Amino acid sequence: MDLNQLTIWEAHEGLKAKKFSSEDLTNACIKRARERNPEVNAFVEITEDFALEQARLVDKDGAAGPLSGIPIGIKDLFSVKGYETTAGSKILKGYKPPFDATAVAKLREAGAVFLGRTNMDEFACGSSTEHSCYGNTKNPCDLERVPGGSSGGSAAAVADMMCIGAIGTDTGGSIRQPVSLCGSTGLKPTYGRVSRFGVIAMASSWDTVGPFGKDVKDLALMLQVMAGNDKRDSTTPERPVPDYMAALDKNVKGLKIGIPKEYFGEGVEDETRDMVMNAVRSLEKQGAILQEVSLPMTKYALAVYYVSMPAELSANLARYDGIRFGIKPSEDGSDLEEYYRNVRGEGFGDEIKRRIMIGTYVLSAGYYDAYYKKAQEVRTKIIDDFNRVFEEVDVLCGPVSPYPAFKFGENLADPLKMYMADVLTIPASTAGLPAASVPCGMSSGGLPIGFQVIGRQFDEENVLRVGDSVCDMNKF
Amino acid sequence: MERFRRRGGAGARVRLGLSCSYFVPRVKIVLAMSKITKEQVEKVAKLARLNLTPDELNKFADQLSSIFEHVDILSEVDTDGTQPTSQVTGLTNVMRDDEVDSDFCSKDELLAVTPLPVERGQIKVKKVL
Repeated sequence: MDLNQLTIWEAHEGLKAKKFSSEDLTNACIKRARERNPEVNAFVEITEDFALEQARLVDKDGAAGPLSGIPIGIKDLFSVKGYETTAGSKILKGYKPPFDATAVAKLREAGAVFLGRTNMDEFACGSSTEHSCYGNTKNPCDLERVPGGSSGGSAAAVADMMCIGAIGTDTGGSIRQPVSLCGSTGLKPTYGRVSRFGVIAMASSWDTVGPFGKDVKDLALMLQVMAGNDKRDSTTPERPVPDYMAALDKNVKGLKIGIPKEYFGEGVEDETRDMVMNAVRSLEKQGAILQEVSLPMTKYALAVYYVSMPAELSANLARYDGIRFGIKPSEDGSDLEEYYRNVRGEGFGDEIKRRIMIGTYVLSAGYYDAYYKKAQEVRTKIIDDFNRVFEEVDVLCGPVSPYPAFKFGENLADPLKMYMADVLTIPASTAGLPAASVPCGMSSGGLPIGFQVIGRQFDEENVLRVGDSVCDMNKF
Repeated sequence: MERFRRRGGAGARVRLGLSCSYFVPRVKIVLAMSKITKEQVEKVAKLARLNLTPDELNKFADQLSSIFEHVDILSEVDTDGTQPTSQVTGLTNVMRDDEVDSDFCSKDELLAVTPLPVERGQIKVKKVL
């Protein structure tokens, strides 16, 4: 087995036993990335010198923690001091942040090796990584298909063994949906569990930071390092971080698993439904107790998201004015306002303009109550739905995406159709719940199918435990 | 994000920012305005400081209309007496001392990333008026 195929845990054991060095491990990943990236385009930059320098440092000092000397990919929206960070947008071309995001600083502290930045939909807006200024990322399982998005680069890089682990963000499904389509694993933690300081913002009441791995153990190891309170992100509560690896020691016996009937309804492909139900039944065989539940507000989540998210996005993206960072427009214009319009008109891509337009519209005078406030009220109702079922069950299980990876261009002309790709991931985001995606099988066309586990707020332990059980029985 | 606070009653006392407060009558809101015109797109683009090409103006009018058509399903939901959610984990205001946190980078490092000229520690921009 090549070193780049190892999981974090396996690589850590090897480093500790001095079977190989972090430099060997890093070189194996770089070699694979150099071979595959011209086609897959998962990385927009491979920071080879930086990675090798970090690896040699770990080799000198010894692999202290589980992430020491482990090469990871970093989604192109995490500030990494001195390295270009653009959120997949032309408007930030050339921008090198003068500081580290907190999640990045914690990974650096833990000895992780930064292999490079991974591709993404511009400002994390998209479900296919077709909206990046660096071009499409391809699904390593089938190069004619999308890897999902917005963290398509991180999901594809891990699935294609170009790195051992990766990090990304999930606002309405941007970790879970791409890992489902590429066949890797990923976790969207509870809102506020991981600091977002230094992460380029999309929609602030939704954004979360989470790990990508080849199995669930790796997710636990990465979350352990990144989770916790940060005085620079006031949405991170002062709440102890549990031992996530310890949670994986327990099995699912006696755990109550809710099966929301709305997650298996119209629009979900038969094969996806069958594979997910197979996994559910094997959880039952391991002693979990199944219960059908109903979340009747599910069908409104997409509409809530497409009001609330663009509203917050348009406010967050107001800061891209070509003054403090980023590009200058090709023509300055005669006054400051024209400068703004020029730089934003040239710098933002199609999907970003569309969402800024939606957001500005729903926040504008006369529409605020009808759209924005109404969406926030319906959001409360969706949360009530989840609270009610979580009185009876410990976790909820269902598909991640209604269908496996789709072809390039298939959903590009019709934005609403594209937005539907996230119809099963948005509800958990609405309520800030932790949710994992793990592979549970392959379609007849050879495409991975993902299994989603949703838990109560701050109950990443049960989410990881159930995900681990599903992963174990579906090793392929 | 939530700038308005409901005060209950037959109408609602709405607070805007910290300074002013006024009375808005409670009306049943009907979402039946899903068709977006090219003129509306132009107006919103101006508010958002976005230059759009004529093609983009036409395309967005159609696409936004179809997105808002979908969003209109929210009007099916009875939300009378439902409080809006703007923060999902129940945290309330988190306060800190009003001190500059400069541990992670310096003012000079921040100024170094502007695409515009810097003079006397300030970024020089086009005239405002």
